[in-house]
Amino acid sequence: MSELIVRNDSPEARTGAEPSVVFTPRFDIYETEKGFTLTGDLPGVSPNDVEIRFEKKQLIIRGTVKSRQSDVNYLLQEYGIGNFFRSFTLGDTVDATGIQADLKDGVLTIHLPKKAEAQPVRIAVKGG
Amino acid sequence: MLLNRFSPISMLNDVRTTFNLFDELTSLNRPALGPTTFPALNAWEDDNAFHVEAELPGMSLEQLDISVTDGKVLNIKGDRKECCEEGAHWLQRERGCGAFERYLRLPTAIDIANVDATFSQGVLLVNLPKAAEVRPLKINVKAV
Repeated sequence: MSELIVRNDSPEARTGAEPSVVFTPRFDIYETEKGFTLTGDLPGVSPNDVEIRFEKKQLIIRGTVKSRQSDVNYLLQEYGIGNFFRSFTLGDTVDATGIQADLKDGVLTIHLPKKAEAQPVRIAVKGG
Repeated sequence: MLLNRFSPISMLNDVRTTFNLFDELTSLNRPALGPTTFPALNAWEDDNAFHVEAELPGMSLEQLDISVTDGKVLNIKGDRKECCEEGAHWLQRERGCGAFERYLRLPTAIDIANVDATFSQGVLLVNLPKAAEVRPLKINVKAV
């Protein structure tokens, strides 16, 4: 685990009055020389229903999935839908102004570029 | 060249590597991520049809293989690709990838010719109309 993304915050970190059931979407994170990419599973979520905020080094992803069926008796119910929340604490190397997010086919992709001074510089070695 | 002196702290790293290896090996047996439990399904019925919904984020309808066998067994098959750039390294992996397959036996026979499936925002919905002989038939009661 890199120091740059320090920890996954627990759902208790959320603020304000919310319903007691809050889902935690699954996220993958990978790092390249240029930055970090977070991909998360948010099936059934439209771009208008997800809110992404970055404040006090915290990246907060929250929203609501609206019920797609009204009042049906499930023969089989293996998942539920409702409010979701996830937050990540980022290090100082992330360039907050360059954060980009897009949502396609139920997958949220967030690009977090590193600040220029945090990116590695390749130094050419001259032969004598 | 500098002499590389041995530090006892490096032994701790060896121990950690060993534990990571155990974690990796045992993760194959953890049921929560097994191919038989993905995707999670919700199913319900009305008078005329069964409806089966699955959360399949990152897939498209072309990547899915949906079939009905034996008149009433729904089979959903697919392969979720992982997306990682060249030269990147993982910091955290929770979503999982790979091939999956699920069977669902429906309680009654269905009208196979009219099964349809839609896929939107990572959610698959399969509508399976019930066979005509199992649909409820409304009987008019005549006043005498």
